[in-house]
Amino acid sequence: MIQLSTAIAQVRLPPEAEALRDRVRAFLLVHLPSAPPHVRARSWSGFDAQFSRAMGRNGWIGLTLPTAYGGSGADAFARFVLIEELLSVGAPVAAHWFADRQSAPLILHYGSEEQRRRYLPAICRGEIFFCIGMSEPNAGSDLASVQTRAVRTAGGWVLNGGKIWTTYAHKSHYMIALVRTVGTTADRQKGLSQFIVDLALPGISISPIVDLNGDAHFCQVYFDQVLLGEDALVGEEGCGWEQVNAELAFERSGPERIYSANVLLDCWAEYLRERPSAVDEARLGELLARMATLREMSIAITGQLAHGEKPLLEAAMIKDLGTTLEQDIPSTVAQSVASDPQSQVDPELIRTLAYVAQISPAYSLRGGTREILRGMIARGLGLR
Amino acid sequence: MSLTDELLGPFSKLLQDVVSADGIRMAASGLPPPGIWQAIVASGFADALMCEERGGAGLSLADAHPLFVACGEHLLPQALGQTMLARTVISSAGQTVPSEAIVLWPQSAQRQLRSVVVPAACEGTLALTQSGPTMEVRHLRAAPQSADGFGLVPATLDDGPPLIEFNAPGIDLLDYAAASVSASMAGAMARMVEMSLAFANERRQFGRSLSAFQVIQHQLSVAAEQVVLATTASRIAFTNTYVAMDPIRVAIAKVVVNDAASAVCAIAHAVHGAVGISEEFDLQLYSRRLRRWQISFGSAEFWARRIGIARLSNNCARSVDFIRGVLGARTG
Repeated sequence: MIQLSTAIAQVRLPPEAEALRDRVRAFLLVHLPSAPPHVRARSWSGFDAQFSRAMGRNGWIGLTLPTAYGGSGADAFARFVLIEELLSVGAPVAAHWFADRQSAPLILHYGSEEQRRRYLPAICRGEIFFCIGMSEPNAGSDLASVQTRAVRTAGGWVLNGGKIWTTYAHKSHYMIALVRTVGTTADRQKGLSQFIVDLALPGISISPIVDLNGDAHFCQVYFDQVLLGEDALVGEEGCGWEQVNAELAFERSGPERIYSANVLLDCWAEYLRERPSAVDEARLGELLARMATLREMSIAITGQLAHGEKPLLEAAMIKDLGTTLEQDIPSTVAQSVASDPQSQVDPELIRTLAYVAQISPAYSLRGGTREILRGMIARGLGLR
Repeated sequence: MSLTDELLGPFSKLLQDVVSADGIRMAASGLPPPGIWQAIVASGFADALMCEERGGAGLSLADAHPLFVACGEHLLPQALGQTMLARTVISSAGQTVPSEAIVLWPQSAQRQLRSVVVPAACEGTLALTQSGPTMEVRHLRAAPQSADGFGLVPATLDDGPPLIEFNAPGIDLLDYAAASVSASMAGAMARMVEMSLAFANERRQFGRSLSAFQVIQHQLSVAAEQVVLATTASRIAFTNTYVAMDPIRVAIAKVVVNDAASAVCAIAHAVHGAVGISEEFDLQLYSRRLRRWQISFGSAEFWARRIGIARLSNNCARSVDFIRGVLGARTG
């Protein structure tokens, strides 16, 4: 235990990474679409292709990818600064988000040279968007039971089945799909593979699913005899499970697991300036204390990742703690604004609260549920 | 290997050798077992924070943080962390450092202790008091009174003339005391979770070990997360400097650590069942100290309010900028 907690050593953001901050701010002044807080609160669920292309022109998609593939060759600390700046103002990053954090690193690590040259520069320019096809109607957290199947055929693969809860499939160009190529669901993790699926191919239909806030980001995607080329397979056939787990590990410890509710937090803080009270000051301080601590942890993990370490357990802990904080923010703001039933509260603050409170259960679902994470942590602690 | 790593191993070994559960129980009455403090003084660790010209090891607060955590992990009866801080303050003022264990005793302008629980008699035989800019070193007497509700005999400040008196502007002993307690709490919590993990793996119920139950696994995962969070938070108070402590950094530490302690105590006791409630079993030594530390030198709410006020009086529109401002204030 002591070893685990002291493993998160003190790390500071290096000056080169900090130097990026002012450039990002100047960019946001020009390019951040003007939108009220309840819209900006969508944060990494906000889709804006134009904004993403402007990001691409600055070299800020695939920031850490090698320059040979269109990236900027920056380090993980620079990426931390970039993401921190984008999320704390609620920039609409969803269009390039999934390619930036998951698909591009996957293609870089496991893809062929031809795949890297074909996809990575276009991702970095903000021209092509990716979605992640993992869940299926009968396979949510239990990814090993996916039933969508790709069967070898002359010159490629035939894909049949479907995916669900795929974020922004209807606005993406490609999906990285986890599908079965060998065996049956009884074989569990064995026999799964990953494919890059061009969503314009015949046999694919996509239906958006409206969420509880009235937004349509989730999609259901159907594959009916979709013909994929040989070059659609990413990495090794049958190694999809290992590849997916490496991919998920990339995404657990970043600022995106701390700041999802910050637009609401900051709106509320402005409201409190007008009517400070001891109770609210303490409520605000408690949230900020946790946020500051999680930021320290996240920077430390960024440092470990940059040194090629794999702090899987610590990353899972940050995600669980961070999403809990993100969910506590709307609960706290709700307590505060309605503590006096007669107070006049800005309707925009209430709208922002409503949005965040309603969507906040998703914070601890996306990218692997809290319950899955706690199981992983327990294994790491030597339980079971 | 860092300076800290070189020191932490021998320091933990020392604590393991000199502090026993029996000794902790004996100390509660006000009289720690003879020998513990002599061994600590002989080791030189009490001078860890003092600068090298004055015979210390010259560690920064950040370097010394793991030592403070280790004191809590072993429930060292004497307030060694507070003694280290007191020695730095006293020696920086050009005064001769006494060899006894020293507790921090921050006071209001009316000389009222700024803690609803009084430092325990076992923690030291001297106090460094502060009222305004005036610091005094005074004797402590074990009060002719019985143990407080937490099972510890409180100390009483001797009201004779002070042994040492000096001015130390710019230092608030309340920050030092809260920071020191926060780090000890993180260590005590880590030990409670270690005990709980071991117990869950050994104890069998319904024909299988407790650790095989998912509900137990998830609770212990949460407890472990809280320990990591608390340890990180307590270190935020320990900057890379000799003496300066930033009150907002200390506030972050005490708020997060206090909240984490509630969660860890609840989970550790739930896992241990009735066994953990018994006097004989050592878990209670940790949870009772944690409950006492939670209300020592300000609650989470007191410190959280300081952070909230600072955020609202700051010009920044974004919480991230406020946090960066606080965390960027680390110097050295």
